[in-house]
Amino acid sequence: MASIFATLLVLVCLFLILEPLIRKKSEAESVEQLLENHELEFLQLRERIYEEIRTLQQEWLIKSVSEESYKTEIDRLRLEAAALLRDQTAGRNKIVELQSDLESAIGESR
Amino acid sequence: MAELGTMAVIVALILAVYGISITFAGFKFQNDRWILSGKRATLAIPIALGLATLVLVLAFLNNDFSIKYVAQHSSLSMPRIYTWVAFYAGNEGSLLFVAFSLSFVSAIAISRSKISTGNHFAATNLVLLLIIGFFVLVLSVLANPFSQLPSTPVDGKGINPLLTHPGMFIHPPLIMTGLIIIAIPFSNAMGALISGQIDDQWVDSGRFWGLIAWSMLGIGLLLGAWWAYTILGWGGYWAWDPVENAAFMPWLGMTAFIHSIMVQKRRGMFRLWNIVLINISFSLGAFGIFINRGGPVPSVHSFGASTLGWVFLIFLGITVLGSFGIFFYRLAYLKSKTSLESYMSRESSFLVNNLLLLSVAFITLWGVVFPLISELWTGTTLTVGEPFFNKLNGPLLLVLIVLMGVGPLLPWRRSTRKSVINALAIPLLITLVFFVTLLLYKIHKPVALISFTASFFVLASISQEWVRGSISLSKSGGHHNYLISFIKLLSGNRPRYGGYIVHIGIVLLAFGIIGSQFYNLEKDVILSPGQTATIGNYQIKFSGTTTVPFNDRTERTALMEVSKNGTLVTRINAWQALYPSFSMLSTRAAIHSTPKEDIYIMFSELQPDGKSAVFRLLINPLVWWMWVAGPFVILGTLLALWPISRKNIQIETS
Repeated sequence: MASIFATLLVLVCLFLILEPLIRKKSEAESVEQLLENHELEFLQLRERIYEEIRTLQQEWLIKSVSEESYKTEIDRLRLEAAALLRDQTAGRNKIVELQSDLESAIGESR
Repeated sequence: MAELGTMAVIVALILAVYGISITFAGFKFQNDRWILSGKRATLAIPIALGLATLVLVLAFLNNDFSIKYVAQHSSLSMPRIYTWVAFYAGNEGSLLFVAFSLSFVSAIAISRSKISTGNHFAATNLVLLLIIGFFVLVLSVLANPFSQLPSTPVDGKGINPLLTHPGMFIHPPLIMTGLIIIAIPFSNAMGALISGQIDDQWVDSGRFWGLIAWSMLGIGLLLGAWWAYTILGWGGYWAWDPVENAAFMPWLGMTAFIHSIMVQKRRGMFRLWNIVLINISFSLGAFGIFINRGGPVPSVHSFGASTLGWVFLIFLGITVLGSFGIFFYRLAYLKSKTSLESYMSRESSFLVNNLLLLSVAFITLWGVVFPLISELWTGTTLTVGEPFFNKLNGPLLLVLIVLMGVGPLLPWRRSTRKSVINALAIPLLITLVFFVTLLLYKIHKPVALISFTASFFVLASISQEWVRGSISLSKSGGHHNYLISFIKLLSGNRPRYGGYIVHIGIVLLAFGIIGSQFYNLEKDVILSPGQTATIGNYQIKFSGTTTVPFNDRTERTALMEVSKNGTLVTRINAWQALYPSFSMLSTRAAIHSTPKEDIYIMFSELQPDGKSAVFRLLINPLVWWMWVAGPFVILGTLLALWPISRKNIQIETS
């Protein structure tokens, strides 16, 4: 019984660590994954900015921040959100552009 | 079975070594496949260590005394319910528990990370694997819980009687897991430094795991105080014992960290300081493990001690040198986005709070290491007692409580003198009324009076924040349902209001400590059956003892009647048991607990005549509130950790 469990343990562990090395196309290397990672990074940053905006708005409503601080902070967050959206679009376009360049280069070489 | 357990630990070691190597190579050569394989190694280690844990638990359940560890920590007469406690009752088992819980939590943390490529992820995973690898290496080479005896004994030695207490089911696992979970935010911070991606990306994850570690340590410490109060028999709950301090110091560090990280999240400040704090907290955690495992100082927790102190000292040295080495290497990149604008701001109050917490931590550290240093230099062991810690830490903790009341009333960035006075006026007025009430109730001891008043001030300022906030939200929503507004207020800024609930818990804890420290009554008496002793307004009658023999112990119960001004309040039993195999007399106090005060009776010893007995009688005011603090800490932490739903974000977007 013990040897069956031991063998099973070794097999499961081997599968887990070797699978990323032997699979034909690594998920980490696909363009889709690259795009997904890119989107995830921006989503996390966006969530943080929205959270900050909401917290700030509530603090302003309950008069926990001064009018002046609120305006300065909300302007900073707006700028951050705008810059983020700009970077997100630019990054996404760059990846798609690179992919299409790559596809056409492969097509030409064939 | 023992072979399967050993093999599982060896598989975990191989996985750790493999994970470290492939992750390092993936990091060095920018290979995402290798980094992913390293991630899988982190995910596979808890499977192997989980199997080892299962094997050890089964060995206890099957009374497999061929395994040395099982024979040392259980016996045929041990109640089955204590199997889980016996599992971590000694050095080897508790190390297996630490390694398993660290690997399990690391696997969750690594899986939670949505992005599993890139240098930051690889460096974080590498640091985690190095820490896990260290514990698994110690387990496999120096402290194998599956090592076998040359011949199988008929019965085991049994579990340490001090551990047969309900608190032991949760207290040690929470402390051990809490200490080791600090490794997650530490690895995140180190990952950011090593990879050079020194932005604020690690902040959310650092705060999340930091809060979990902090709350586990906090609840674990509180449960430990409860255990000490009921079982150790001196009527107290905290003795500044080195092992208590070993968990208390990282808790202080993490308290500073979870406050300071909010400033980085909110204002982009304290980036350098937060790395220092997490380094200090993890190093103090490593120091705690060294104190606990190495046993260089005498402690009531010596059952976990071993001869492996030097191994953990090396681990501590590498941790301190490594973490601060990387920190100084990247120091130039750790500049904050903004700087302090005013000393009258919330970020300033957080900074002062941090400095006070660290001062308490370092004073406590000095008290712990001083006996070691003195022994090293003079050859004489000196002990640092309670008065040292109370005199130095007491005033600092009092200032911290005052700050808990003032800090939340200060706005971010800066404030004017007028706005501060406006914010403080009502809480101060209510506190003044409370102060006068205390005087009328004859609370005249100056330190107690100041401490009670400061603690109440925190409650007053939190109440003002909640009432003001709910009224403002009601007005802005155009309705008068203050309960809905209050719920909206709490859910709108969960980290902040979760923190306030935790603060209420801390205030309740403070009430209990102040009441029991300044107003307790204590008396040692010898009573014959039928005799009565008086303490305060209470009369304690000793009705006699009953003796019941068991296989492993002889239990004696003293039957006590508690009356107040001639009226019977309760009948309670004080208990003691003699364990011949441990040459130990274990006790359980008889406690009648009410919000006002505890009546505490300890059955110290039976006199040679076999009838009369020595008792320690205590009246401990307000201790009940200390235990009520626990649920507040849990509730507040849960609220602070509760994720923001995607739905809310969509509403904000629109």
